[in-house]
Amino acid sequence: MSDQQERPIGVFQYVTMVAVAVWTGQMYTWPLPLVEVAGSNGFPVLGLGILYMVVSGLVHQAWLRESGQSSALARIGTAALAVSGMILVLVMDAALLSIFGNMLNVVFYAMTPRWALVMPMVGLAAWISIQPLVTIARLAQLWIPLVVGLSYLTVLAGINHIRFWSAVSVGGIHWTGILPESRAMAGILIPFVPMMLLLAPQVNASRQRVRRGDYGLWIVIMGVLTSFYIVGLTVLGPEAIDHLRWPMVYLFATITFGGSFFISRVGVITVFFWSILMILSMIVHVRALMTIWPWRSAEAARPWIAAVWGLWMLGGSLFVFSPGQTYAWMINVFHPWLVVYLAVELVVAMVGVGVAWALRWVGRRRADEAP
Amino acid sequence: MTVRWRWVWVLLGVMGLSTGCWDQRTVASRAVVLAVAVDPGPRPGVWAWTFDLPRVTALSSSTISSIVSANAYFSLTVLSGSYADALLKAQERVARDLYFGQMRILALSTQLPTAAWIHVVDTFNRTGLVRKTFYVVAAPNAAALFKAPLSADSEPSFLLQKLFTADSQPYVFKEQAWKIWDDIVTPGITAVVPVVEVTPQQTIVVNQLAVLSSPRVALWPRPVAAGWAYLTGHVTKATWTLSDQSVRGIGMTLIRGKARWTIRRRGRQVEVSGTLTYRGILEEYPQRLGWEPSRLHHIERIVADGIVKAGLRTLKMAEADHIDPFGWHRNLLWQEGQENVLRPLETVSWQGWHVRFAVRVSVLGQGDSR
Repeated sequence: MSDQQERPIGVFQYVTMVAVAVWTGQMYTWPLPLVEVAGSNGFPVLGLGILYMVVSGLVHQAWLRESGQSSALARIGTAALAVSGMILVLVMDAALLSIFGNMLNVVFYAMTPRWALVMPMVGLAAWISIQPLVTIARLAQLWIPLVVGLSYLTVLAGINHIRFWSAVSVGGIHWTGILPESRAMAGILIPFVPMMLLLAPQVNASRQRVRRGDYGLWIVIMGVLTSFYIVGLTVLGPEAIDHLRWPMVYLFATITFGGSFFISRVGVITVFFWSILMILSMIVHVRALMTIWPWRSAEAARPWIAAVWGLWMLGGSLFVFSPGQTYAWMINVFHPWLVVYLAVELVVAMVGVGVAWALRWVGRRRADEAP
Repeated sequence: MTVRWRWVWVLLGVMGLSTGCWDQRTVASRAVVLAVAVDPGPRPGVWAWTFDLPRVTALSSSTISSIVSANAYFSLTVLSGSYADALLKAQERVARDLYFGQMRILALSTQLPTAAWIHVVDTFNRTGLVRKTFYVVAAPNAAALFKAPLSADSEPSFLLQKLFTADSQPYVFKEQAWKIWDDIVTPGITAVVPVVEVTPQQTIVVNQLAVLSSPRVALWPRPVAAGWAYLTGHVTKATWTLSDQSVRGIGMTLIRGKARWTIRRRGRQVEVSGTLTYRGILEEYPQRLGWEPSRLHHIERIVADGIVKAGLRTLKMAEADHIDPFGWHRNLLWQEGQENVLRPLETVSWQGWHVRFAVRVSVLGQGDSR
């Protein structure tokens, strides 16, 4: 691995990078999957997602600690877990970029062809992704607090729009359908483990601080998703969300500051800034993938990886996924498979941790028995 | 160095592409739509679409202070069965690209069936380039709203917007388009829209509420509309003139407050209980009456009784029409997690519903003198 050549990143940078990698693609459609798939059962499904993230996070923390990146076998194990997840993430990225380009087309640039909207984004992402990791970390460190803060400010400005507190107190909990409904959270959860496995070793801090950063990260990721879900429900109501393609974008479009000329439509600014997050999340995904490049001349290989990735993203978002059907395909076909993958991956990681524990125990026994 | 230059070129190309040049139009080739009116057409299935537009070339920073409404704005009516077709026809007529980023008002005729209302509101909501914060108003003749030669303002659609944004109305009947749309797609609530009329004196008044009940829009007269405003807390600055003998002629002004409702199912019955809290100021309180608490309580009680009466009248109307402009059915459906029991715009049943509410009115003060 080429870890030695990279300049390490800080804990906060790590947190923002994983956060953007997990959220961004989802934010445009959030909380539509939850409302559409889970209906009034949204909060239990959200809770299940949070539970999975915490359990999976703890297991993979244990894996990173136990494997210690020492043996070749451990490194191959980490790479296998990360790469299998990343393949799914890259498929999803192309689909999400297709949806995003369509959103820009529908809401902002009606006449501009989709390739002209998508190509600069992919080009920019490919270019930045060949830069050192710390450069990207600094971008994330700057933009994530800014955009998330601005989003919250925008949402706060719309607080007088809140009309439906009763929408939050929806129904009883239905445990029976919760497993098929959990696919609403699969898209959010899929980049989480690969990002953690790939980026945590790049952090220049004690393991304890990284772990504390992880806890903060989980709270932030789920806090934003939960609060936006609640805002969506209380402002628009579940039925309206179900009728919309980009509920958060719509929500921001409803917020105006009547008389003020300069910031009369602050939501538009927020949506524009989200484009930056979209690019940033693509960058983090592909750049994290580059950290497992097994060759010594990783730096020379990066442009090639970026080029292949860029071609896939362009081809995938423009030709493979049509914006009209992509969302339905993701929810009905792709996400159920993601749920299966997430379950299998967690079991494999648990077995891996168990084996690593056992090997260490055996090793210690041998060392004790040795004369 | 060559590598760096290559990236400079790439970056320039990216910048060139990201500007969205395809959507660029000069101001002169854009027609900024300020308001749209939809009226019934000469035959069924055809509607009259009226677009209210400013003459951009007639407006400049030097003339803006002395705009004469007669030539700075114009409206354009096209007959069409669909929005897309109307848009195209209007664009052809003005030889400009219609731009909806500044849209303020959508006026719909009360003569249109409710299905047409829903179609138009949904269409405007669906179109991404139209902003979602314009106001929806009803009018007997929607297009006439933009032609009223008003003395107070340069432009009718400005005045219409100000009618809602300036808080000059006693009751908040205004609703932004996205809220109307939201109410339309949500079962268990009936959307209400203010009816704007042009009086013979060429002023604009809001006296009625249009209730989107199916199949036709129902018109609620002002007292019923006021009852709705009191029941739902949509009151900003109502006044109440007392006619009781001992306190005749006293006016209570600046009444505002809120309404809280809880909905609970008890077996087959549904219990709705509410508390309406309103406060006001006595502006015209004569000195001779003295300032005893008992007299104030008396006044508070009279106003509270009036609000109760207005509320009951509105409730009776809602029951008779099988509609729920308060959203209580919606809240009950959500509480029980049964969103799919009713369809949007379906009539609601008030059978087994018991509505009980208490009104608390308190006098905040009596002005400067005593």
